[in-house]
Amino acid sequence: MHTSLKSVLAVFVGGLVGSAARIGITLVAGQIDDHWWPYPTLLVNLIGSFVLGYLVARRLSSIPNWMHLGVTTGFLGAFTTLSAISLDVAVPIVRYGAVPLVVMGSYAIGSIIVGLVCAIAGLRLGARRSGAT
Amino acid sequence: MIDAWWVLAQIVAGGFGALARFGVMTVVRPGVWSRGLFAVNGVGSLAVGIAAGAFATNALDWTITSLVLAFAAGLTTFSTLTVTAAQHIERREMWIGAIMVTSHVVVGIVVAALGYISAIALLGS
Repeated sequence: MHTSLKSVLAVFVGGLVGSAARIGITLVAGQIDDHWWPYPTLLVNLIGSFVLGYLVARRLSSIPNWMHLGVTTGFLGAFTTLSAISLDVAVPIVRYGAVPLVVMGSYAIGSIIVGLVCAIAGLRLGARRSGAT
Repeated sequence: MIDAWWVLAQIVAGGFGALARFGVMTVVRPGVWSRGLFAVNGVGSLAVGIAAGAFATNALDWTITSLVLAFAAGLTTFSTLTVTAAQHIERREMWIGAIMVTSHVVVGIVVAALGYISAIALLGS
């Protein structure tokens, strides 16, 4: 099979699995409690940031490029999301003003800061493992 | 009761979203500011704002709205953003990393709000 077609298929399949995992976590969280702030989104974004950082720094040369794309661009790209943050923050602020601004603003800022910390932790751990082998 | 077909449709929409992101990011050369990533995150955030606004005015039913949300969730991404920004931070380019991730989130929220308000203004009776 042509390499680029293989990559496209890998990204699509990875995207399906990543979406399924994210939707699964959201549905399970919905069954557990009627959460008033979107912690499932925060959870997938933090896990995804850490794992992608790790994989990018680790650079496993034994894995073919199409498989790497399927896992990173496909799976982790679809597993994590920005549109959910945008919507979950924007709509309450538009509808109710100041109070959601404080709460959801903190959620947005928290996502940024902890997301960066997770990504840096993943990059450093991956680089260390990469150097060890 | 969760409808299995509804969940499956959302998963497939997310897969197509990921494919569209791959397409845009392959065509648009990244440069320092990862413009392709900025484009997908901006367009996806605008789309969910418009869809949610249209749903609020009953112009869009829940099936279509949830498919738009699912497509946009696969189209937009957070992990590539944080890792790209983290790589800048690790290279001591602290400000590029901080501005990159903040601008995506802030622009995402603003365009989602604008899409939501515009849809209600245009479609609401």
